[in-house]
Amino acid sequence: MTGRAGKVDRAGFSEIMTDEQVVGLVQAGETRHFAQLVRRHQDAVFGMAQRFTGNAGDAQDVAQEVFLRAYRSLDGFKGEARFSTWLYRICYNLCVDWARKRRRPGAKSLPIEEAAEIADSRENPEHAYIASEDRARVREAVEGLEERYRSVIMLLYYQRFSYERIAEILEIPLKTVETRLYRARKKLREAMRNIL
Amino acid sequence: MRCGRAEKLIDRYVDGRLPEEMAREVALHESSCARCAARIGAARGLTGALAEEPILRAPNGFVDRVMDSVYREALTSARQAAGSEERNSALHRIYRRLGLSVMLSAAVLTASLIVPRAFYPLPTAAVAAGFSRDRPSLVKDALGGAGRAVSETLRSIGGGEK
Repeated sequence: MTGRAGKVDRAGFSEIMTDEQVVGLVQAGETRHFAQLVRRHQDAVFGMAQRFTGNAGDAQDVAQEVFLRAYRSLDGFKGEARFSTWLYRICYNLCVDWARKRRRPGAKSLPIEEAAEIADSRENPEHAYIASEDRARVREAVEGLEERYRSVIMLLYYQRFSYERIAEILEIPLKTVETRLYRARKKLREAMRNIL
Repeated sequence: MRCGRAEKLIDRYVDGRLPEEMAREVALHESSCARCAARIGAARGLTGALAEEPILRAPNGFVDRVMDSVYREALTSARQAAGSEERNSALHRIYRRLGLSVMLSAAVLTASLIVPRAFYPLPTAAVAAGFSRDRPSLVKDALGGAGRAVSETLRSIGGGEK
């Protein structure tokens, strides 16, 4: 997520602006420009929501709430962190809250078939219909991890965030991210020993 | 490099996050230690399996759905702000009227305390001094007393009433 785009839309709004510049417009009362921010970050937010909630319906509700909450709190955004980091932090916190309140014990985060349907067939067409047994087992093992380990694994592998970005989103030191990843993967390897 | 040390570096090695020199050491150890090579293989397998997860995309129309709720939110906030301003204005009018009423009441009260004192019943000391209770007012008494004083004065100097 670079927070940038390279074309000009029909409304004549320059999409070359950074997220922070667009935020400035919205803060000045130009609400319509918030759509630009939603457009840029919808996949990351929705993806994160779906990984945590386990189904597209709940993910849409959570993702929508993330953007709505971001809009409501936009006046409080001072630009100390990148907008995307701030937004993903809201998303992560809402996902964790959602999981704590509503997730059924033993529920899977994402059914394979559903994941395959939603997968980006434009970028990875071969991935769209791959439903390997191993992947299901891996997903199940990730599901079994404690929250603090599961979140770093999800953010690193499913959301493709860097270690540094994960540290920013979770507001923990980089060293803690490394430690959690080390322990998470160790637990996963133990769980997956039979199939890998 | 010892196995214990290598084991701690495996994840960072697989993720390509080790400094070049350290990565070379792990690679060297991997080639000479079957146990650690197996561990590194397992780490690569796990990373590969995790990385195979598809990137999820928001459904079509998601932006519109979000913006609908954002616009509703903006409208509600604007209405609330306008309502709040209207309420403040109404309150301001009420307070202004209340203030005027209080001021008017205070003026009436003050007037009613000061002006009608002349019509109050005479105090005992005043009665003892010669004022009469059956006289309706202090002003009347005063005027009567003054009249009498004037008559006596005129009489004493040989003029006035006969």
